[in-house]
Amino acid sequence: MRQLIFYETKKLLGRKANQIAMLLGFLLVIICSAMQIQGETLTIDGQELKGAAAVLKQQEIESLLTDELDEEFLTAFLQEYQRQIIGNPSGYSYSLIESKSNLFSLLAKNYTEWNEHFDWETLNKIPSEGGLAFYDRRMEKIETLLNADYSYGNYTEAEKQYWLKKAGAVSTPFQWGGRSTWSIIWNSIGMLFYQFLVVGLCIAPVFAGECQNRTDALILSTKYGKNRAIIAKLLVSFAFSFFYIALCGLVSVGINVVLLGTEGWDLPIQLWDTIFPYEWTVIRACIVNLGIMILIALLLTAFSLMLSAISKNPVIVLAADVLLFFGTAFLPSSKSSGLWNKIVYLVPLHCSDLQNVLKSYNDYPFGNLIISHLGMMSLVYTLLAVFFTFCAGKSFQKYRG
Amino acid sequence: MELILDRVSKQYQNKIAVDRISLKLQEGVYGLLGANGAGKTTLMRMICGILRPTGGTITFDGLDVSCEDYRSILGYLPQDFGYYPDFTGMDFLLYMAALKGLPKSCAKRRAAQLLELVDLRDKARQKIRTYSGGMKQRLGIAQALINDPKLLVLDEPTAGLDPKERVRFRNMIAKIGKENIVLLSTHILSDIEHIADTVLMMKSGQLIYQGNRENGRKDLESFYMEQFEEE
Repeated sequence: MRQLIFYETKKLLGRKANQIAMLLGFLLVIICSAMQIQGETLTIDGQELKGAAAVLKQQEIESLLTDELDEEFLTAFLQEYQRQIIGNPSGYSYSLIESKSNLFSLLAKNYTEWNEHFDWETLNKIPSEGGLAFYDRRMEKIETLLNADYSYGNYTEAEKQYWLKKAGAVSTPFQWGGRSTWSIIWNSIGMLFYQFLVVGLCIAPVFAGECQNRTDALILSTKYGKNRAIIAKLLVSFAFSFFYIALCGLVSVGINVVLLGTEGWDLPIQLWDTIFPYEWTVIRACIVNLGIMILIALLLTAFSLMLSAISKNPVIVLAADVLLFFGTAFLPSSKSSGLWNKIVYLVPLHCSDLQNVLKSYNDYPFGNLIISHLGMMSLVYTLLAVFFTFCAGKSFQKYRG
Repeated sequence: MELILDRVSKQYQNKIAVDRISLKLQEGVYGLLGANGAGKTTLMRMICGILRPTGGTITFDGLDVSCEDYRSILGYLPQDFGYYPDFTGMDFLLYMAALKGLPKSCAKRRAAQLLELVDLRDKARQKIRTYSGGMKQRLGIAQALINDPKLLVLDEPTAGLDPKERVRFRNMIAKIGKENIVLLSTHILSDIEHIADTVLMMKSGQLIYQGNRENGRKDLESFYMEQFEEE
């Protein structure tokens, strides 16, 4: 078996098209990471900082503000801003906000309704006289979200209790620190979605390539051609996808860590959006996000393997991959069918955006059993991957001439 | 040692590619003749377990064609098959050896022997994309022999070989056929004349002739030509 795995790996990695695709994939990771950092700007005392310098400066300024977002600090912080903004006709001052924009945006978001986008003017409208009641407002916002009237179906009592229990269990007050570095790292993991094209391209010829090379008949006539050879192909394909996406993730994170450092890894994810219902640190969220990417890549691999075994043409496989994994992102939500929406939430592009998943409060209720979006995604993707893999093996066993 | 085909058929929708063929083959070289589309390749693929018959059974010493043990005694050279251009000749043979379940040390020794036998020893470390058509065909023959098969199925094995290589190949097959079953499909009558002990002829999916080469040699040529003339 080890020999078969060795030669299947050699086939997969030895293909020129695969080598070029992987090289371009890694280049894309490096370019995306560099561009993301390069796009950051910060103006301090009239001097504009760009790139890593801007990120690190903001990180430094924000980390010096406090260690903990207690009510007293938040109230004083906002009152100070509101005092300075009095008489400003635009309702906000970006020069005051810019260097501390992460904290200001957190405040503004917390006081914006769950279905609206925040704007900086909100900061001026937050009542701060008797204290902010920041954490009460957080729970109030979550309750509003859960009690809202939805045309496609409302949350059941069991669902509400499920989410309120989760969100209520998050420790307060939140730990505070500079989160600029980890915002970039987390975003960079979301950008790995483009690497699925590379995975699809490399996996498409695994079985279809044997038909094109006319080696399928030869393989199927051998002792292990209908069992171990197929298992070796499947194992190598899954291992490739796993390690390729993991490596892209490590390269992406590595570039950011080298340029920006690791400070802020233990901050709670609520610093990105207060309504996130899980008590996770940002490094944990990044690992979960990378795990989701790997899970999607494994599903894509299984799907591609099935099509590769059914079709004789790798181009058809790749076209189907693009349609299913990128095209489904354009599926519209329904205003009347909750079931349809729950299916749409499970399409890969939606699932890859962990920040959206965390604040969507989407779940899958089965009576009193509530399965979270992440849980359902893991379950459905695993079942589909097993089914596709089984079909791939069975299809290749049948010679198609 | 006995390969038994019992009323073996293969039907594709409305077309019958192989029609109830029954055969008992023992040690020796069998030459399978027939025009294009006669069903030779389909029959060979069923004997190799690649295609599943729609009717009938194929067994080798009681082993059913669908089982792993059957395939472990099989060597197959398909007509017009491809290679992995980025593999070297040695890689390809070792890969085939792994597919056929040979232990690594044994596979290396056997691959080296076969590369010597098919005169590719000097090219063993070169990528297959640099091989000529004849060299690829010789490599194909080597892979078919790597597991010392008791049942050797060769579909157009001499295609692309030069006259000298063809003579070497015929001698090799004749030697193997003394202790094993060799089924050889070809359009080249001289190959059959030189090495086949028994001639099998197919037409429209049916076996229309089965006979000893020596006894029926004159009849065979004219009979074979008659079949072509009819078409």
